[in-house]
Amino acid sequence: MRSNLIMIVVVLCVLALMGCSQQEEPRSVQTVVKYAKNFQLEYHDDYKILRVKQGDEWITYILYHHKKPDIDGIPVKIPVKRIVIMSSTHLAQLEAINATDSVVGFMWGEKYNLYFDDVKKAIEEGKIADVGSPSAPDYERILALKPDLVVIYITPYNEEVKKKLDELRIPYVVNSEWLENDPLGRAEWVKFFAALTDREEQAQKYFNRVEKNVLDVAEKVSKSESPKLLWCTIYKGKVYVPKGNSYVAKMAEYANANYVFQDVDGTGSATVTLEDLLLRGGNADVMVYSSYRVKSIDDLLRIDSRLSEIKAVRNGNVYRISEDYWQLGLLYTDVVVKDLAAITHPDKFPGYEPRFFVKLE
Amino acid sequence: MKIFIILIILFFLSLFVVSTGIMVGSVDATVGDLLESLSGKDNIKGYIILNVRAPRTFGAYLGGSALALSGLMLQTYFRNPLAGPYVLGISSAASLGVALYVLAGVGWDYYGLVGSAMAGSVVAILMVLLLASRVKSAVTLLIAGLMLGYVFGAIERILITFAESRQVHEFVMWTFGSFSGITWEDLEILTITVLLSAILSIILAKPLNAMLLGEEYARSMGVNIRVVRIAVVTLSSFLAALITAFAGIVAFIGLAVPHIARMLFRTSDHRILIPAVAVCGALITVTCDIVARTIASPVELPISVVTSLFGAPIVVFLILKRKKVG
Repeated sequence: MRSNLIMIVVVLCVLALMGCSQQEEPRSVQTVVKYAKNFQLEYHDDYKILRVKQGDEWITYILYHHKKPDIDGIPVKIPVKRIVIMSSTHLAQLEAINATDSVVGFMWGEKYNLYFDDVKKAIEEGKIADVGSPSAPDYERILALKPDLVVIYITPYNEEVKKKLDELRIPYVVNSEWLENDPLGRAEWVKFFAALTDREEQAQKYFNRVEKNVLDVAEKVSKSESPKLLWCTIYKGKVYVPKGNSYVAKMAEYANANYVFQDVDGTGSATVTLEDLLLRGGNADVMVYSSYRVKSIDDLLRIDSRLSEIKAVRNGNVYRISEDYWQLGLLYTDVVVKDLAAITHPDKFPGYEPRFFVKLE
Repeated sequence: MKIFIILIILFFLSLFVVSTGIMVGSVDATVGDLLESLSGKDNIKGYIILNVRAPRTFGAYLGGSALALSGLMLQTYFRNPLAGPYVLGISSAASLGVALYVLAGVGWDYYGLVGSAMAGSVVAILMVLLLASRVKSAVTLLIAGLMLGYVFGAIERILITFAESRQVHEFVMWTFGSFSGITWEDLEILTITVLLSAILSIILAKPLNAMLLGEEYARSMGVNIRVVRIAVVTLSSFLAALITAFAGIVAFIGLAVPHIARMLFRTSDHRILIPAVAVCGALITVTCDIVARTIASPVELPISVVTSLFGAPIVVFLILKRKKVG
């Protein structure tokens, strides 16, 4: 009896030690999520746990190399080599870690210009298949591509895509990068793709660079006075502005600009009245019109003649976003932040030409 | 006599609401600010009242009466209490016009939007008129109009399916409707056209009264059915098209205000109903516009949300009340 007990104790000790030594063994690259709020990564010896926030709940994915570990979660065998993606923002993140060659399908539908030249070329050459629009993709083509994984985002408008993928048993993961309200949080989603494609090192390098550049810019302008910034689009008298906790508001914070609708709660955008725009934005120093369809101040006044009352419009200090803002702008987040800092603090960046903001004539 | 008193009271009430609309908003402005701005001084508060708030309030006034008038005429002509300004496919056609303009990436100029909505509506009006001159009965025309709406809606959905999400968002926001974009120049057009249409509709009051008893009866009374049909369809569709072009789709007003007016005035005589509906429509729409822009300030609610949310209970209340009396 007694010897049996000793045996058990010894075995348990050995097991415990083994367990400890396993846990303590450091991985070569440990990525941690610092800014992003909608995903988490956990690195284990031969598997990774990826958690993505979708609505109010967290979805757990178990990323494994050889053998699926016995833990709860949706298993995904990595590295994924054949990915179908839903959005050009996914392209930006894959581009950042040089992984666009693993894309086999893209829900594009030829409805907008692509500014990633390598991807454009790959589509022309047939290496990447255009599998239709994100709201109504061509499931047969997706099936035919035999993807390892489909990366989707879920909005109230496209929930049926998720249902359809479930029904067709096509493996997919949810990407909630578009919900991040910190530019660095959004940039950090490269780590999501890195975990899937085993490219942690590139991701870390990319992210460290972006983070350093953004924080350097923030430091550079932090002592200056913060000018008033207006950021909006106007559409038939209805004014759309980013809310106070949005991506844009956070970007303004890095650039030390005083965003005039900072106090509107929430993320995403809000419709405000034209009178509020004129009242609060009337003395704005810089205005960004967040569309690239407006080319000149005259264009702007054709949308609503009453914008002429805004100080920034009178002084010709109005910028629009560049055509590639929504694509390359997400790849070069640091440049976008620097641009915004430069247009709001021109004295700090003499001779600097913004890349992603264009001054209206 | 009593009816005239109610009408006059309502009219003054509507004027009161308009002045409230001009004075109430995000900006606490005084008459002094307004006078300063009128005298040409640079005063942003006065500018806002004069060039942002006043035109939208007057726009809501005219828009509300136009939609209500349009609804009344169509309800009477089709003898269908569920008919409204959009029953002949005007709203679908207008939004198809806008969809083609916005989703195809042509632009989003203010007058481009107004023009494309108007162009879409005119196409629909012409198609409805072509039908109206051929079909025999009002019911056939109603069904044909509904079908037309479905076809336009389907084409619009095809465009949405293949459009970029950002553009879809812009487009969806258009369909919500708002009087916010209206300027003084627009008001000139709106005032002239709405007033002219109102006068024309008064001419139609007698034939519309006869129509209440059915087309056959009206014919026996010596009413030229075809002329009345064309006139009603053209006038009501034109009013709906005009307001939709400038303000987007405004729900509820055209459908419900005629019912409210009928219950308030306890009559179906169009000589009374036409001015009554115009005043009630204006009163309700201006009130809803004030609520839409102040209740969650600085965030603005779509006007259709307010018209439906506040208006529908009023109609239910009036129906229940009438039941008790009767």
